[in-house]
Amino acid sequence: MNKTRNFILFFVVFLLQLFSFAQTSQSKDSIQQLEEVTITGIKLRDFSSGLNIYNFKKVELEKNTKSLGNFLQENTSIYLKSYSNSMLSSISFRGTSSSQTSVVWNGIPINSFMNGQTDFNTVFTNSIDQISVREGGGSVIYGSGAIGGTILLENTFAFYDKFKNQISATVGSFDTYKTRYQLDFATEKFAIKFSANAFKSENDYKFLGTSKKNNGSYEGLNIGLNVATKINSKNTLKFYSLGNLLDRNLSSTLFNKARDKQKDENLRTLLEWNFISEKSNSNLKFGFIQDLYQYFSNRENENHDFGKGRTFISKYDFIHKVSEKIKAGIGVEYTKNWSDGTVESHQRNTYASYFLFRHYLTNKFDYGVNIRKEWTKSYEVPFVYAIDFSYQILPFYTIKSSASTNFRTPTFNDLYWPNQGNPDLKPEDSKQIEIGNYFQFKNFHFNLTTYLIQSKNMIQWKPTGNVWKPINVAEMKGHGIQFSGMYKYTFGNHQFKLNTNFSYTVSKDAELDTQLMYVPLFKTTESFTYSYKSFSFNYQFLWTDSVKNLTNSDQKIDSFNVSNISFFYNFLLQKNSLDIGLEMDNIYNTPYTVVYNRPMPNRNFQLTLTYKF
Amino acid sequence: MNFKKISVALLASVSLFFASCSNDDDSSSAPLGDYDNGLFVVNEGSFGNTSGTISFIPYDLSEVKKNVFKTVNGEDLGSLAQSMITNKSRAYIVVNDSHVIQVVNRYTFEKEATIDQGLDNPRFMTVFGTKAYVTNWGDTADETDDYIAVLDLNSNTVTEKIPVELGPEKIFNVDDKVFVLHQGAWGQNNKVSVINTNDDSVTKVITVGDIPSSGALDIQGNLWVLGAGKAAWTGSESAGSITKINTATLEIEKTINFETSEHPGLLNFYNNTFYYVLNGSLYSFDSSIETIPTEAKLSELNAYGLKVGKDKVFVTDAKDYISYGEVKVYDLNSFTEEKSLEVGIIPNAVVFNQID
Repeated sequence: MNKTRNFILFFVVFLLQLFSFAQTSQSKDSIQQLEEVTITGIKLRDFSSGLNIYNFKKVELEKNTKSLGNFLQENTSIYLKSYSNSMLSSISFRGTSSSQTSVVWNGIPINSFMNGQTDFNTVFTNSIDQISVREGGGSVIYGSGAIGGTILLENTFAFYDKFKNQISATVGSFDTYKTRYQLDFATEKFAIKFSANAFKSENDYKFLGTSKKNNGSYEGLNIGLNVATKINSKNTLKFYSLGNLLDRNLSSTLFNKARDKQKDENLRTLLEWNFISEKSNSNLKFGFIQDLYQYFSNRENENHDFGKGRTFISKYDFIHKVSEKIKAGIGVEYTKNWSDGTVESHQRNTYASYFLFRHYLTNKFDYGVNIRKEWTKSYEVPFVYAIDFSYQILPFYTIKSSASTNFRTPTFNDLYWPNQGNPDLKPEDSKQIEIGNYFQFKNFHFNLTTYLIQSKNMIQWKPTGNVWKPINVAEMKGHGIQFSGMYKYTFGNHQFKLNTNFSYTVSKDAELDTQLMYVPLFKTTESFTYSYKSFSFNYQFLWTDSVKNLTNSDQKIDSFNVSNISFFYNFLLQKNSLDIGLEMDNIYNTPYTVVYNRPMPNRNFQLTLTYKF
Repeated sequence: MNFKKISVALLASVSLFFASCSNDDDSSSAPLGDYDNGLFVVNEGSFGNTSGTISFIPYDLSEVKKNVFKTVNGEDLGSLAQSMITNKSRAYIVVNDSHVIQVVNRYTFEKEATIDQGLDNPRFMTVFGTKAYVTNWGDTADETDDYIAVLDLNSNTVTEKIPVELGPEKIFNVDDKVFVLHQGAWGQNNKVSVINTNDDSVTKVITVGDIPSSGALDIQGNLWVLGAGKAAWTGSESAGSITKINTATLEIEKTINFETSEHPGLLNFYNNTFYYVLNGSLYSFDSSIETIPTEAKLSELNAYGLKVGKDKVFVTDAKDYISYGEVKVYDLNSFTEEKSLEVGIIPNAVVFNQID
């Protein structure tokens, strides 16, 4: 563990520098954040007790040319299990499983109810206006799966006259081509946002140290269309849609040249009616989601298996300002799922209701209590609750703490997989407690969170007789520390920015007392940005500890560190602007794998031109 | 996608297979390499998580060398080590999911060749002269492309593909004939194909009991086929069966059925006695069998593979399929456990490197 010790040492030194740097800094933060004017009001998420660790705004998301999976891997300390470049990428918060993370798109959960998770390499950031990553339990508001954390993907509207277009083209290594277009049009009554993202890549990078090459070419198209109309000062009608087509030849491993491929089609649509008054916020949503995957064991062949999941969700919530100091809310939800394909035709109806309460005792101390109950046939969903408080002890120091119980319902694959599914499964349940320390200074802020988490009835596939079946068997116990900080220093036109994220995650199988598979003990990402007028330079560093990929073997996947750099230059033309971006990923050409035997790309380049008019 | 793959792996892992070993006589006594005087264990490896491995155990059972292929050659064997045979100075390891056969010197384990052309989900092989016959499932989504690859052992190339029925699995050689048991890959089958090695054509297809998952040759050269029968989950459960095929006349000489709910596997032949495993118990019978034996020789076995020989019973235990497995060794006379040795992940077969 010498490496670990060195790392900790490095980290401490790094922090010390950060502090001393901060104290000597005298300059003012002159950079103005250009933010969208969004509709304000009391929001559902104001009640959620999960800690808000990361917030990514439009400006950052627009610049990013990669999938959400790569974006989060490089910019947060959350671990993403990425099977290979652009292949399945599943997330793990706080040592929990990928199906214990909830992904919420404009207020509705979009994890596949078939496999319980979202493939983060099928989500692209340019169709999203804001991403919030909330660590910790959030089942009360976000329902099943919000155990480890919740990712909120949001689109926003602003009602003022504007007509903005943005078109960009990317050329990159491994015959990668991407084109993107965005339209942002609005009047005082009406707003429309449209985005399209088409991409294609041979993805045939060499497996370093071998004579083999990857053969996981892919192509895809993403389209987002969001429309809103302001009926009057109080009522707004919004329509959101997000479509995704993806055709991936699955990547090879070091052991064999892959022959299979997968096609995905996802369609998400949502209609929302929003009523806002001074004292209340009422929100009615109707959503429809369709996910289709087709798996071809041989690319040359049309034979394939498929799974099709459709979800209808209706949701109403009402939030009321009872007094200056008290906010309360109620919500009801109805969800219907239909499956088709390998798991055959099944249906599930789920009803849920929740109650939210928040009291601002003083302007420095507030607390909240939230509860939820869900009902569905065939298994009992536990009653869940969350309590939390926030206390500003010093002007620059706030402490937040929460305790919550959370759950995840069995997926359709768990329940109905032919000959193997187990219809008697119960939901997984989990409880956790956490304390977060938030420090906010003029030029820097950071937070340090510690948590304890325990999950029971974890669903695992185990051999029972001659057949593998999912059973509620495992118990997981975990604890950890998360640190995230940002430091900014401005000198004339020069700006320096440091971002650091770090996580220490212990997640153990309670029976075996061993760290779970694919949970690194440490992960950190560091980013340094220097900008001068229209020029900016970024250096990004990612380090992930080694992981076990089998419970009871000494085989490990090595730790790895990867560095990326990028340059941006913005030419301001008369009314328009042209951005040039050059990205170089894995600059040291490090061979590494995240998942056993599936090499990640070697050094690669991307050039992006963006024209805004 | 992964779900599919996992499921596929699960299915592949739960079938009960063991390696067919064509042991040739080799009477030299001086050690010819580090791995001369002992047995090999074929460990499939956890699909998607580890490479298949070969473990070596000397006959005195004093130690286990867990991953001899990697130790000697510095590289991994590949994904899903399915079976292994020895022939002359070589050993051939069939690596199912990597679609290759690794050819090594059987005494030193130094790699001599990797056969990576002409194989598609290879399973088992048998040798006839300078040729070998390898069962291949082909594309598992296609039930009509299964074949036997004919291998030229001098050039280590596939020279011909003989199309056969669904799911060729274990393969045996008697005189100039090759017998292929069609267990049925991921489906079900109940056939034995007979191939004439002179012109490499299928001369007869014999129908036997459902799911012929293992077989053994007796001293007279008769092929005994053990059918597992269809499992309950198929919706049309059928009984296990024992079928005796006269390999000269290609006629069935005897068929004995188990109860419908009984699904035996892992047939072995040693010292004029047959052995198999049913519901975790080891049973035996001889060629005069008329009724199914009821007295278990050993019980409470978690047998993923079985090898009877050297006056011992070797049972491979795959445990939970993601941890290291074990080889349990029992004395064949007293049926008491002699030793239990930790080997690789999902051990499916024991192969003797030498016949004493």
